[in-house]
Amino acid sequence: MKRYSIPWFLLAAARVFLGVIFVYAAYTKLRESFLLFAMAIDAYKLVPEAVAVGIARVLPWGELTLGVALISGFFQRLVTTCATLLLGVFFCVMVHAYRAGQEISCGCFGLGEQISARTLARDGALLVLSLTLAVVAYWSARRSRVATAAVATEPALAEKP
Amino acid sequence: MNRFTQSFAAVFAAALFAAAAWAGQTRPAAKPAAAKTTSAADEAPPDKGLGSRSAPVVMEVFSDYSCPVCKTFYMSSVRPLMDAYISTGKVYFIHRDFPLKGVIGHEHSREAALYANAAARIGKFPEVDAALYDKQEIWTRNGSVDAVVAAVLTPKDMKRVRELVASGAMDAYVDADSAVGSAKGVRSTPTIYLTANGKTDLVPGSVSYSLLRRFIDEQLQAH
Repeated sequence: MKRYSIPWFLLAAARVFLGVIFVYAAYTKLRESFLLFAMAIDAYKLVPEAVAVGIARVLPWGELTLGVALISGFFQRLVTTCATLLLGVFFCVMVHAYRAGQEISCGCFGLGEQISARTLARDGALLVLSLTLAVVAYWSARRSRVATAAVATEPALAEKP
Repeated sequence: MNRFTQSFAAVFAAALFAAAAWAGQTRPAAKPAAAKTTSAADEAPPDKGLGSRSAPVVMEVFSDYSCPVCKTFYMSSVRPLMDAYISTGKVYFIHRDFPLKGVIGHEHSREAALYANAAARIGKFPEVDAALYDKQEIWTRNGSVDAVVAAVLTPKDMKRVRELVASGAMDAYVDADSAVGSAKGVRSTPTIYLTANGKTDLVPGSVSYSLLRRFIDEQLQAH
């Protein structure tokens, strides 16, 4: 059976692209007062104000860490899983706000960009990309485990008459 | 990916972030930004600004008198701001009319804006502004803008307001405000711009008073 695999350079480019997006998202938030981002989170009316302030303080640093980790390529399974979960949460709250007709800023890259079909399509695409990277990371790890096990059993087979 | 490539990528990412941060720091030049603060105050029609023009924080709000979120913002944020920040010379508040067109429930928005501008012309803007928000549910339903305004003005002032509205002179004020809003990219109401320390920030319309107050205090501390 023929094995299909995505070329490594495409995967690396996708990972670096996603990483740069995360770094840029963090940068747009960290250059402003965290209170502006807290206001954007609070506008969704999903969490109490104190929680919104807490998220606004922590999230940009989390995005920065994820972005740098994605670009560097360390701990790919863990990092792509975290990125996928984070993008999944973003996507869900944005869909919820859009369906509720809330005319609010998405808060993706600072303030000023209202939630629209375009922002949903963009975040959805990023989510799919991140999910693909996560699946490939787990798949690759599984394949190498199988290959290692095969190599380990080969000498034993060779010894048999 | 080998160790060397991974280290290189990490350094590259750090350099990218540092460069972005540097670019962000150099972006708001001090002088043009200071000019921005002044122009925001000068652009406002003199009679629709509340507070001191020399206040360190300028708040420009694009609003529609029929919009429920605008009412909530007025009641829960502008009123408390009035005592604590606007009357004390810390914040200069500019009202801009941005009546939404073709939206159900907003049929009398423009009429209300015309009355508010006429009232502003005779120095009675705060009273009429408050009355229009207070009685929003009534006049948006039955169109009794005139009656709501008349209730807070003397007969003499009301006569002048009616004359100004009937003259059509106030249309230019409303259109000018809407044009400023459209040029700035305003799409919904309320849209709030807060200018302080040479920088203008867009504040979400549904902001709570406590967060807004914290943000203004932060700007005042940095002043």
